[in-house]
Amino acid sequence: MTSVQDVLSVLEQAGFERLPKPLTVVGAEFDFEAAVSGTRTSHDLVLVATDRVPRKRLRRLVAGLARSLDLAASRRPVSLVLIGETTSADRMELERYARVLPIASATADIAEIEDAVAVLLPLTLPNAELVHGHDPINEVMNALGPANTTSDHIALITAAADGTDAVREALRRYVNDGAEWTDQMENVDE
Amino acid sequence: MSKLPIRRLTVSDFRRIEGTRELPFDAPVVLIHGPNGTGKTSVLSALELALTGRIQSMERQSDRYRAHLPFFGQPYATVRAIVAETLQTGMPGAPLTVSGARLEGTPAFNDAAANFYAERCYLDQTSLGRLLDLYQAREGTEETALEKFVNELLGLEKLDSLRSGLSDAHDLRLLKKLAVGADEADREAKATAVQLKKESALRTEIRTEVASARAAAIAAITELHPDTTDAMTDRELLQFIESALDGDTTAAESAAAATLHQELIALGGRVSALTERPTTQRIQEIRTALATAIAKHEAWVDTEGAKVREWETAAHTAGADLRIEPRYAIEQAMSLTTQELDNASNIHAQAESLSMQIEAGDAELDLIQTRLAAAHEHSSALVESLSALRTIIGTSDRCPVCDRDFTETGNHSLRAHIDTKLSELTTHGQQLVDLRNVRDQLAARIARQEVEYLQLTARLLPDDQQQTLIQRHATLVDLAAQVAGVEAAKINEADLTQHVRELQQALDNFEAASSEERHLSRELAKYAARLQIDVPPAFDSFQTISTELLEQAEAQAARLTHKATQYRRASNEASRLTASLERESVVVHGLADTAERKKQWDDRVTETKRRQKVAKEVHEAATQARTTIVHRVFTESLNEVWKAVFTRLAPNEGFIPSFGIPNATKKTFDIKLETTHRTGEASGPPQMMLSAGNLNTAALSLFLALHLAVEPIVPCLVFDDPVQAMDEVHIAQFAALIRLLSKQNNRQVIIAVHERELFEYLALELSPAYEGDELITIELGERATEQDQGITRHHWTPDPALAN
Repeated sequence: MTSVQDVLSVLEQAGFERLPKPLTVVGAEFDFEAAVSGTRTSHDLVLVATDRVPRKRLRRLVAGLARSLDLAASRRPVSLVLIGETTSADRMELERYARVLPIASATADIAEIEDAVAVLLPLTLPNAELVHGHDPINEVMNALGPANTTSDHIALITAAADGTDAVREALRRYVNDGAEWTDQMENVDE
Repeated sequence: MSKLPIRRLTVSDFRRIEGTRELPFDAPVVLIHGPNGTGKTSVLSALELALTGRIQSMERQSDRYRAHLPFFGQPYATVRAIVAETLQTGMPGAPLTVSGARLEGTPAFNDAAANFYAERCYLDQTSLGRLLDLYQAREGTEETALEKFVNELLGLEKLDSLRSGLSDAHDLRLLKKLAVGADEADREAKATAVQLKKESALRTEIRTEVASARAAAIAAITELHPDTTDAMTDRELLQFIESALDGDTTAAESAAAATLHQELIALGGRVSALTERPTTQRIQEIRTALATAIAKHEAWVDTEGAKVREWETAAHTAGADLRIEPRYAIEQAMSLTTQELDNASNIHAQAESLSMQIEAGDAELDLIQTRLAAAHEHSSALVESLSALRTIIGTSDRCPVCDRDFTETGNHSLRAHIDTKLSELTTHGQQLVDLRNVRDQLAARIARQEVEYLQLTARLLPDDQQQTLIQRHATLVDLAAQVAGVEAAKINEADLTQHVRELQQALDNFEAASSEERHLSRELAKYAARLQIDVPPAFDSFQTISTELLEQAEAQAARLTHKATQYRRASNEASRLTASLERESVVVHGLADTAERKKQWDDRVTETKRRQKVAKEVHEAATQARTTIVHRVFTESLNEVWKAVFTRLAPNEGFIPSFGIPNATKKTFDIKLETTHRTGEASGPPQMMLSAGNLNTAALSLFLALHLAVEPIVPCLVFDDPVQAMDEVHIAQFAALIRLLSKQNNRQVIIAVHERELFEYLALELSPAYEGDELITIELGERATEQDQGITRHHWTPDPALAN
């Protein structure tokens, strides 16, 4: 059985704060197995329920909470993490009041839990520095390794900034210098 | 607030919107609600136009879409947007006017922001349904939108420049073509290597030559100077040979020996000739015989010789020519004498005859002379008289003598008569002339005969001579009788003389041989001394000694010739050694030079190769970097983000869309979309694997993923009814995602919807969540006519329901 604890730890990891039991809204108590709310820029209310709670009772609980929030003119979005098997009828009934995030598997691991509640978790965006604006030249340096990062290597690499022809010219000069060749003929042309 | 990219939009007479509307956008979330036909989409189009100067979705329909932008019946439409300062261009809030096809003014965004907004921020209603197709549509050979995005995202231009710029480094041939120095170094290195090899071979060859010349020189000099050692250096050896050659007189000695040998050969000839002659013991015999012969000859002279001389004297006196044989000389002389006698007799007879003729002629002449004188006297006196008479008479016919008239005699005149007489006398004169001629001829003949006679008489021999001739003839007859005896005597004498002469000759020969023998003896002794042979020469042993001497001389000459040859050989070999050493020195120098040059070129080639290696390393590193980047971008960013977004939107879908990871080494990417099942198994493309609804979700999530994968130049997301085809679950998920993007990822979110229920749901879901958070709702349609123009600003207030 997937534990409520695991779900809570996932949510806490994502910046949610555990709410004291029982959940009290405008003075009314709602006996959810667990509840968390978002912090900082999030004000989500997330309820956690297992199939230990009869679905009928759960439905009443969720509907009651929704009504209480409405009465208090609260604009908190409500999500329900539903652990265990559930019928689609029950689920559709619940969805009238809250976003339902089911975890059907009895032995869901952390990854599965994360998948299920993904929509509540912060989006992991690729490191912009890593993708965009990151100079691929550094990648070339990495590929070369420190042993091969001589000034010769770097000179060729930096020529890339000025395009293919610049690299070709750099290569040409580099190799010609190695052969102690002087560009006298070309200099005449220039 | 200051980070919000879009602040405000003013729209005038634009499409569905009549008149001017001011719309605030300066909130993290702006929700627009407009039932169909109330200008919901027009607002977002106006926003796009104001920000970017274009409306991309309309541009795809028709490039003349601008003509339809002004509100029906209005000449022009005006839009104006106020945006964040960092993104704007031109005057802030400057209006953009569309009139017909013309567009005046500048868009609010700068180019980069405008592009980003059009591509990555704004998803219009019509594009959403065909987003995957639009992204993958290819016109000609151009990149698809997706490929373009990926290539830009990858930022591989530098790497590609680096790779293509260094591509020649992989092929030495191409590299040489690029960097001619490398080519030259390589060629020169090879050429010098060949040269070095050639020169090394030459050196080996010359070393062999030096060794051979040295061995030959040592062999040659050792024979002459056995004290030569093999340990000498080449230079010492050459000096040794030189000094040995300096003291060498063998050539002169050899020449002398050859001369000696020649002389002995000549002497040998004389010896042979001498021994062939008779011995000297016969000299005495011959001397005796000679004395006898001489005595015989002298006896002859005294006896027969006297007789012969006497006869000869007589014969000579008789006129015989003794130079020819006596018999013929006598005959000749006799014939001559006889002829002279006959001759004298003839002359005498002729003279007698001539004398008689002269006497007869003289007599006849006297006769003619007498007759002539008489006739002459007569006629000349008459002619004179008649001529004179004729002068006297003239024309008269009277005779001066008789005085008679002549006419009496005839019928002609006296004068004619005289003339006739004169003419007759003239004829008579002719006869005289003829007679004179006869006389003269006779006289001339007599004179001639007298001369002839005188000549004959002169030739007549005087009598004593005649007598002498007769005498001589008689003598000659006597001498002829003695001729036979004289001749025999003379033959005898010739024999004797011959004998004497022969003996004399033989004697002379013997004496000469004797002299030669003595000479040869001396010569042989002399040569024996010269050849240092102790042999007393005796005549009998001449031949032996001569042969021995010759052999000795021959041996000496041969020995000296051999020695001279040996010296010459030593000299030649020394020269050869010197020459070889010089060549070796030259070659060794050249070899050193070549080796140095080779090293230089080899170093260059090595350096060139090292540099090629460096370039290859860089190229490989660039390729590796490219692969790394491509993998990272595709797996870590694109696919991760897409998966993250998609799974949030469609948590129940088993197939996750993703980019197929392209071959990193290819310069351009062929971007393929595919799906992967949650189990990790690769599957078909999204169009095949996903339901229509989830395909839409895939498109929406791809749009979001592309937006999130890049640097957010404009941190803003604008949707036009994005959830039309979604069921409730998906809408809830979408709302949650948008909230996340707004609240946590700081994207300004603008969403237009037409359903009231959805509008309210979203307004709740996206309501302000923290202090400073704000939501603007804009309601078009009837609400717009109310006091607040349908615009509501929702600010955050602490939640009274749940205090925390």
